[in-house]
Amino acid sequence: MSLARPHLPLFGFLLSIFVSGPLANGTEGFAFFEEKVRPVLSTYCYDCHSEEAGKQKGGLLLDRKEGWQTGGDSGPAIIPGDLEESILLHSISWLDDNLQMPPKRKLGPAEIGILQQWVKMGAPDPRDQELHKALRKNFIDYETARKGWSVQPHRNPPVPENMHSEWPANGIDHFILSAIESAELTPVADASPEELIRRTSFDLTGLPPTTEQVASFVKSPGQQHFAQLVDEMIASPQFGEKWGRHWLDVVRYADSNGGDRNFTYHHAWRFRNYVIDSFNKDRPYHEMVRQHIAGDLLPAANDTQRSEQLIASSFLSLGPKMLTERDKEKLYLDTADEQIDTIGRAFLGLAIGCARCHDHKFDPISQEDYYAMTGFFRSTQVILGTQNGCVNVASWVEQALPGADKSLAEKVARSELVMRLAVDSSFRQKAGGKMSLDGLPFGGVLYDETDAQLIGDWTPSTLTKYRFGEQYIHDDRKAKGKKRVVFRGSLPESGEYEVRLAYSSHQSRAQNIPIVVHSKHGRKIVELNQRKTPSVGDLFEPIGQFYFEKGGACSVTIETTGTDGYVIVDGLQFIAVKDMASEKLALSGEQDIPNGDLYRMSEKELKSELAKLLKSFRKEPLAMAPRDAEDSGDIHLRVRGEVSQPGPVIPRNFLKVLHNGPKPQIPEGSSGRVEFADWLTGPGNALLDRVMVNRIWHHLFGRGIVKTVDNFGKLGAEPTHPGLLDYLAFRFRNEGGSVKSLIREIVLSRSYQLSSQPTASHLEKDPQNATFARQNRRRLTSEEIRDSVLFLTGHLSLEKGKATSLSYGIDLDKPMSFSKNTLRTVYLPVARNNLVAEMELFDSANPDLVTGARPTTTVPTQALYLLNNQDLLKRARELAEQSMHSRDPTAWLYSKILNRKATRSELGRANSFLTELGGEQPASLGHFAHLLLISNEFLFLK
Amino acid sequence: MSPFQSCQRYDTPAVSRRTLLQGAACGFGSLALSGLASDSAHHAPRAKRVIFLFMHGGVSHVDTFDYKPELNLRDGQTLPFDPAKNLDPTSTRQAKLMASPWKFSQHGQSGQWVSELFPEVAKMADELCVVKSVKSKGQSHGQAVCMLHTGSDNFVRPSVGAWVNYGLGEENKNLPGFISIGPSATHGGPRNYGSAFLPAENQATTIGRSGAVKKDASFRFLKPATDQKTQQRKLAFLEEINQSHISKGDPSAMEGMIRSMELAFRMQGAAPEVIGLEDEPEYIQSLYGLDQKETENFGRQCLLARRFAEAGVRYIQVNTANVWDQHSGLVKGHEKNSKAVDKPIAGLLFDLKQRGLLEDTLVVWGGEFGRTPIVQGTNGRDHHPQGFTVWMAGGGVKGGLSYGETDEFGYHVVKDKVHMHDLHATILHLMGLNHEKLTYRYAGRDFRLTDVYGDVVTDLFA
Repeated sequence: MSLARPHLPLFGFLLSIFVSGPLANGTEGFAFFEEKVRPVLSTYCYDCHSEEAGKQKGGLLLDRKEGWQTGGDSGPAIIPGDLEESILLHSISWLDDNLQMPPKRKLGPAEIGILQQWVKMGAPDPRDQELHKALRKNFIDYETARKGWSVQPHRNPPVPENMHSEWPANGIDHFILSAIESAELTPVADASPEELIRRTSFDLTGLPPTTEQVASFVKSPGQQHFAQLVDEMIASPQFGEKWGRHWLDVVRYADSNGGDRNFTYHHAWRFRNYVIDSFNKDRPYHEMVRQHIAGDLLPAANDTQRSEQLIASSFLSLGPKMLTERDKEKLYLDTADEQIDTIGRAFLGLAIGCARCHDHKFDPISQEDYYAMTGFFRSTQVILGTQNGCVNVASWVEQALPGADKSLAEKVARSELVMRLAVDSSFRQKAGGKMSLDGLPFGGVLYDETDAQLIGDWTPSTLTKYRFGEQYIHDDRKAKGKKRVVFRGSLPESGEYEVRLAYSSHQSRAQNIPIVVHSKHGRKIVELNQRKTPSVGDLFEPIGQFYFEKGGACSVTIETTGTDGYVIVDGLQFIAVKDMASEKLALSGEQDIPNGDLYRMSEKELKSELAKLLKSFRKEPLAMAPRDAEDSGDIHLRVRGEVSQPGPVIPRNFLKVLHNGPKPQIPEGSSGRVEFADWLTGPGNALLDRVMVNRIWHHLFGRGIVKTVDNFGKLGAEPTHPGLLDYLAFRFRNEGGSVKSLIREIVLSRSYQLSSQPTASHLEKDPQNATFARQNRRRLTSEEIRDSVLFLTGHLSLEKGKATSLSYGIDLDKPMSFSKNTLRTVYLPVARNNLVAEMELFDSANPDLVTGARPTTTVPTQALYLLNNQDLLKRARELAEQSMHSRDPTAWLYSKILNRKATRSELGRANSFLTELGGEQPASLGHFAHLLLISNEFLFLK
Repeated sequence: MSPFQSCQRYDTPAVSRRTLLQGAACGFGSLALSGLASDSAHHAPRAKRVIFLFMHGGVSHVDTFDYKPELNLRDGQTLPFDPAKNLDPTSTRQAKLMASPWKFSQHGQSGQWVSELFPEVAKMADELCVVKSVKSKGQSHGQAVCMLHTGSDNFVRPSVGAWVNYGLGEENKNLPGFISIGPSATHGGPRNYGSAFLPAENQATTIGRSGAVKKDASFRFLKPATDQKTQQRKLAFLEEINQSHISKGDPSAMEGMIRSMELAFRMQGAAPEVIGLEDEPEYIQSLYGLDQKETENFGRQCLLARRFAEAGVRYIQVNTANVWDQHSGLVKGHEKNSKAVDKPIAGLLFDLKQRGLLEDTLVVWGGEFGRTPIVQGTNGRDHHPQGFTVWMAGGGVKGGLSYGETDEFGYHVVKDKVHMHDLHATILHLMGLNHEKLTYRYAGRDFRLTDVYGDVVTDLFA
């Protein structure tokens, strides 16, 4: 069995009281079962593990022999005769926090004794009901799953013929009209020029059209003029700001961590601008996705490209993380999980994260699929060191961008070393290794002999002055073989370490001391000669280099068997191999060597050095990019998703439902992300294209062809226009993944240009507008509300924003306000857990989650905000003052704010309102402008 | 209509004004039609509302309600038990036990043990249903606080209050259904009172910031920007232009916005009455400790909580700042903190009882974890999710009950373990909600507060 579990010392003691023979079956064993065992099982276990109760928690049944033989998620529950390997006994011992049965109350010693004796007897069990009848085992049928509509290869459906062949303007319209005609409907009328230009301007740039643009288009409407306007809008920098924001929703962009500690992501803004630039320069979608996944690993022709790609890969690091998680392996796997979940939903519309603990209940994604994919991302390093010098507060990887000052990369390396030394030193303190020798630099984790477990009598001594800690111990050359010293190590992170033993050398010492090192790769015996002077600082002698896993096997045993002199033990050191070069420099005693000084710093000094470095990095050209981890490789499946319950190792692979070929060939020591990215974006993966074209459609029609834009799985919606979806996806791929071309094609379709006003028959036959026989109205987004109010008053800056989160300090927890800033909202900080009020109120994306479709909620605080926010009133008042320069202020405000001419009756109503408030003067006009700004007509696009 | 479909989008089917008005009548914010109707409880509720008193930072159980004489006897000794497996062995290698610096005594007819840190709460001992066997997940604050509030230590999930609000809708049409008083911005911040993927109106409306709920604390943007008369006139005109603009087939959010404006106006009128404490008689103010500097802040929060409870708010959370985290200076820290909350909490219990509100108001008290019986440094205790105490009162629980046990040192749970999921299942049950049925479909999965876990602890029921 592959499960690694601690030994159960308790059993040795309890066992001695049993008088049981070898494996007993037959009547005697059955009688024991009936008298003793069955009552225990039925009283304490059947509630959750029997067919009668209808429960088989953890997949385990205990009401029949075959139930425990086959076992549940963790394999067989009982190994007859084997007390140590039987999971059932392990779980009832309650020694494992993650596996305590029965869960509410530990069994008494009598019951535990009965079950132990039963297992020892060979678990005689007369209950022979068949298992398969009770089990509801479901397995994934990949063959059938691969026939699903969403995972099909690309296909190019023919453009349908229509009855009203004069209506369509392009291919899209043929598909739309075909569905409308099938529903025995006709498309509604085209939108008015005012409506169309306002809608298009917001959809393409996130801003209203200017009064001049409206006037000119109203004067000469028509497809040609429209196409010209569309081209101008698509070519403007505002296009990337609008569509980049859509994408930032999908990739859960934020400028702070959220999670448990809301540390500022000082370099996230570079990723935000990369996204905006990508949409503006129409970077092929497939290239963009490839850069998101593996930008840090891709070859680059020049520094600019290298820089772009590094920044793009920040995508993997931007998620919320529980940086104070004490179990680092859990932190790594949770981080990988967040990445996989985001990748699944964002690119493929699949909830892959659901398969972490068990096979996906609805979609063809097995737990094995999940861990095959997790291998790529557990092999990717995002988490690193510490933010503040505390071993329990992790930080993340940042890389120097190429082309910057050469010393920057060295500075980054120095900061990483400081982090590690700070963590080591914090560990060292906890481990009790409090003493050290003056002038001797120490890295790594150190243990004094007082931290070790001593077997047999060891004699303390202070005879030799040059020593580690207050004293050392020796075996007095007596009882050889009966004495040993065991150091059980615990290391802050997994990696290759050199192990060193401290002793004082002398001619009386033993020359042949066996030392057993237990590391990830098992036990290894090394022989040590203590007559030789230790080579590191005359105190520590290397025993060898070993790979240790955080939380994994890590012990060093000094044996005395057969030794030919005194055996001395003074201390033990684990030092990361990567730190040894700088340690060597430090030991050489020259002060002008980089990093050498760090080894002599106290914990406090290290912390302040770290703070200094991190502060200086805020303005440096760094990218929040990940890199391949040192311990890249395939990983263990985790039973029920529990980090501490490893199952079999799962080779890295792509999702089986989308990939029917052989496993990828991944070079040794590499994460395999390049291979993963190539597969994900390869032409064979039509799902990637379907999901993206549907996202674009959603933003232009208010609803996707597949309504559930982030879920193309079984519980997602079916496409209302499957042919159209395939048609668009095929063209998107064939035209090189050009987002601009696709948007242009959609906007120039007649379908896009329809009015949003339904007729009675539309409301009756198609109330939900499943046919797209009309446009859907949509509310302005939070960004559009803020940006357009600033735009209308002439305050909006169209400059490109940079590191706007920089000034907020090390975390984004303090109240934030945008009221003094006039940049477009997309450039302002997105603080997780601390969104600016007006962003949160009007349904900005929650940056913790992939958000392909923002909800449109109605909460009273929105109304309170619109009514009472002073900034908004101030802007309205400014508009009112501007209106005073025109001949008819109310008419001017109508066309300025709502992009249309007011009707005569509207003007009449407005004037009587103004009269009530004191006539046409700035105060009352301000109130009037305010009402137009918070009116439904302003907030909801037609 | 399933809750998922009703999540308000502009593509949802046309909703008539009449439906909307009906929606509005059953609660403020239920305009968005996303909560289940209020008669949608799964079974008869024992409690109508919850007041959760959150002791942020982790109050020590072995120094307050979980009396451990054996721990006191073995002060300074090494551990006679195995520490939790998930802990770094180096940090527990030299661990030693530390006695509680405070005396315990029995109180009330039930003989409930309470330490001298809570003399006032001790007077209400017979109301308390003390669960001494709570086990949670998350060794650090971030994880444990999220676990307590959302049932997940690492993922973004809706908070307990949001689930209750979603399941039951609001009782009072002029106030939100879920209010958090003085919530902390750290350790997940809004995530702990957020709605995650549930419709946004289920998240808490907050009042005041952590540790400083001032006299004039109010809801955001509640203060009218203009005089009432002007605002009334403006609203009338706004309604006029909005009504002239709306037509059949428009998204329901447009109708929603019209109603929302009216409700906002009403809320401006109603809410200040509820949040203004000046009209409380002096003896009530002093019952909550508003007249003493140490207790004034938390007292105000507790009094606000009572007023929200009276006004029909479903789920009210009262928060201390992150003050209970005594890795060192246990005596000074816990004495100061318990002094600040003891009288206000006792006052709240007493006041709810004298008004007959306690019987259908569930009061829950606890931190994200307890603290170790092991000394940290010379005079502190570390985080301890392995076994700690949460007490409840009122709302259908058995007063005077002591339930579950930790071992004789207060470390491991040994009897009647109540996992955080079980506690959540129990709170929902008391509110009339079945934790296995209260689900929400998001991204292809039906989510529950209790994930796939949780058993209702019926032994706690009166």
